[in-house]
Amino acid sequence: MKNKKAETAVSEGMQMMYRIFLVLMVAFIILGISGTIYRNYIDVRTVEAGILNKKIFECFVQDNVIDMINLKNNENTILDFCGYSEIEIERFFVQIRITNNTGTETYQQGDSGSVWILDTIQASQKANNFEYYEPGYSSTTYNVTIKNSANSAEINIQTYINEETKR
Amino acid sequence: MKKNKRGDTIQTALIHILIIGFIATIFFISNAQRIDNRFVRQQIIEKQIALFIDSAIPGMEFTINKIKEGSYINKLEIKDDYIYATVNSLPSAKGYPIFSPYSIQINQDEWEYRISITK
Repeated sequence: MKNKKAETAVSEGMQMMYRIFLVLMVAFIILGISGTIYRNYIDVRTVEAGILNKKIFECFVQDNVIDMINLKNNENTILDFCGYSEIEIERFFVQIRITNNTGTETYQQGDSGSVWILDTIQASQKANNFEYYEPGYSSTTYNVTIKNSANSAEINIQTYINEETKR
Repeated sequence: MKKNKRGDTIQTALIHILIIGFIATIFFISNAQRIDNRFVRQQIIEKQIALFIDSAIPGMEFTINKIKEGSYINKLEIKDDYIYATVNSLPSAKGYPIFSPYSIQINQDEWEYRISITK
């Protein structure tokens, strides 16, 4: 009888240990998952896109006059021309559209994937979970005069900034 | 015997509740700390300074107090187009990218950092 009692106590103790172990495992899994998912991400990419937009404008336009030769010579190297390095360019996409009486010309550089990522996220109602991947975006239109010509033109600059690259 | 069994069940349940309560408390405390901790302050300081630098033009110089937003900035440095701020002795692991095409210099005295932008 004594032995049986002792056996019961031991088996209950073992069961208890097993349950505690299970509860702890579940708790640590929850803590681990929440720890990796939870982040206080402060998004400043839209501000960065606005700053880059202005910098690109100032790079090609001085005193409201645009030098088309500079732009045409750097058709696909807009950001390089403005002094940005390779590492910085990885995060950017810039598109310059110039409209005048002869038509519209487009110049661009960077990762054009940002455009459809932004369009997809903005079009989807369930995209709130993907805010982190939404690029910062800025679009500005200016009226300028073309250098060595009396013609005026409308210049639209669109800038996209991706999330910071993993290092 | 029946009484003992019920007692055992209650005891087991109580221990489980205590363990779950303990773990839940740790969980809430850790999350509460994350909302207002050094990581968040570091992120804010790094991004604020990065935006200052990004928007600056050559000839500009601005100062940043070492005591900012209730935190102490132990170290501020720029490496490979990234800004790193050590806040309340917490070194920055990731930093934040800056995209200024200009040359940036950081000088410091006892109370503040002076950031100069040159061509």
